[in-house]
Amino acid sequence: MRSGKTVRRIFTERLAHCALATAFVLAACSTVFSQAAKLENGEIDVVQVRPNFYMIAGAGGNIGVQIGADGVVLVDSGTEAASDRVLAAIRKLTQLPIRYVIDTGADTDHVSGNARLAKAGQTIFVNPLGNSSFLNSMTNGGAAAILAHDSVLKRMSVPTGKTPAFAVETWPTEAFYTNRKSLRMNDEGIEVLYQPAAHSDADSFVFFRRSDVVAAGDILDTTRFPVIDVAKGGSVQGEIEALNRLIALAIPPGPFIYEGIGTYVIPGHGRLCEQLDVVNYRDMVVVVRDVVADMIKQGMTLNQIKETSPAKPYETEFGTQPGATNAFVEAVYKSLTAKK
Amino acid sequence: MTRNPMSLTAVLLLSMGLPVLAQIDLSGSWQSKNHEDALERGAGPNPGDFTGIPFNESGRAMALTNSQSQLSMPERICAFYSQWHMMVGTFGVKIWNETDPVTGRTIAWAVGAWEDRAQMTIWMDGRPHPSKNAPHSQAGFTTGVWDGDVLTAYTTHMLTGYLRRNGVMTSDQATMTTHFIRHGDMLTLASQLEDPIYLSEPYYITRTFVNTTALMNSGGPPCIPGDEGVPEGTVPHYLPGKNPLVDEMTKLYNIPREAAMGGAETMYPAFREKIKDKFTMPAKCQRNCGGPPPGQN
Repeated sequence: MRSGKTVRRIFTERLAHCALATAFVLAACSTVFSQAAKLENGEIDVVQVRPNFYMIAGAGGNIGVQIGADGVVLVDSGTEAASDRVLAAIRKLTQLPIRYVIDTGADTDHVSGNARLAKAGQTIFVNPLGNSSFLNSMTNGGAAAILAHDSVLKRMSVPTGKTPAFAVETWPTEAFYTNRKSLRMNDEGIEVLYQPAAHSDADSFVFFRRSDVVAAGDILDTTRFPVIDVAKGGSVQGEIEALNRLIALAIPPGPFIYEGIGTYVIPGHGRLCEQLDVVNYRDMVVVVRDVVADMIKQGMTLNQIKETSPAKPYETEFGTQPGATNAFVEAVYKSLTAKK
Repeated sequence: MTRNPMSLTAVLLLSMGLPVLAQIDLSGSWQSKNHEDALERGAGPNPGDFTGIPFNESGRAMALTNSQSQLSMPERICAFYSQWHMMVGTFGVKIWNETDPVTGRTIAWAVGAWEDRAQMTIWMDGRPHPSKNAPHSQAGFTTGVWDGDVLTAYTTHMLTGYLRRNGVMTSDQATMTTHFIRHGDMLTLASQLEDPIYLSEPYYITRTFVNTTALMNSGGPPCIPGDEGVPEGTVPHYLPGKNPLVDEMTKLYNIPREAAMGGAETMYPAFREKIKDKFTMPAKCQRNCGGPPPGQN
């Protein structure tokens, strides 16, 4: 058993360590923040998340960038129009090749840069015999692999004979069918975790276990109400369940709550988040779901519900884009009234 | 060896620590004068008391949605407050400066943490605020400038928090401008909160501290969430029109609902004129009276 003196000494040392750690973190953060502020000209903003991890904002959906000895792993690729600027931003961070582009979903602003960024990279397979045709046929033409859940491939492609929404070279080259796909790159375990029926039926989280960073895709969008595409398999309950899983994945900064931020969460759009931001977002979806459900129970129609502004507490924060509030309320209503 | 009296005078003057650029020393322990806004700083405000809050419609709707049981959500037990709590919390503050070891210049002023509020570090070295995509924290990010003898601190990048501990929220887009004004042994903080999400006008508050030899705490203890009865994933809240505490201020003090529900208008003296015919002194004070009402003993 520790004596009172020992406990006091440990507490004092802990405080001293806290002060030193805080000073170090603040100094480190100040560097990071300054860099971010300087790079915020134009549309591309590179925010350092961890020493080897960055978030690129302003290129459509947010892009996660993990860098290490094996090369670069990207989460999402942004829009095709922004690809050159994204590539230039990555080249400022490292000259190492892009090895993987991992897609969190199938929306244009997250995947249309796939082809450009993958082609700028290099497959993980080596070619010691110089047989390029053999290598090209085995891989994504020698380029970086595009990894995603099969549902993303289905959304981006179409049955033979029809015109697909995306060019073939943007499609995932490695699609998986399971709920979890794992790989290890740059001395770090990476999990791609499929989330059924949330924003759509083609969403995944990408969890970097050592960096303690989760890329959430459009399940978390801090700039607006969640876009729940019911026609493409999304649902409000699936959205809530996915956000609950995201909260469970993310660890808050405790017990020493003022020493850091905890798990970082990269949203599909908006600023870099932590667990509490996800909790606030989840709470918003739950409250609006409950309000609409109560009104449905009272026999109100969709139009009658809309007239009461059921999302009023959140409109100034998440409903500033034209039609965003109505679209969300409609999606909630449709989710709750859909035939099981 | 001869001495130059002018040089000696110059050295003496420099070594006396005379204020440079009108800066003054804020360092020390400062005890809070808690008779100001005692209820706010103690047990917390009455439920449904939104008087003087310059809400917009979303802000009011958010406050009425909020259930105090949210504080018992496992995800929120250790979440605590944003820097605004420095203006409405109960504790005194410890203030010190961090100096550059080479130049001796003050790089930052620090206002020590409480158990429920993070340390405020006020950067004085001209660094920019982070980009809009950078993460937010309970501490936020603060820079400061001297305006004569007044230190003005500007805080951004806070997480969501409470403006008033009865469900009146601040968003993560809220900013704080705080003036540190020292008058000898008295320290006044005057702060302005702006929030484009929940407020239609800025909200102002001042508080006073007195210098003390008692050491103020400057570091928060660890926090380990316990089970407070709200299951994980549950979000306690009130449906529209069903907040049972909405008329609490009317029941307790006869304050008309239009005053209790806040709004920018309720901040201004003209509003008293507007509601004077709707208010009658309650026959008996029931809670937090602070002394007998006129005519009662």
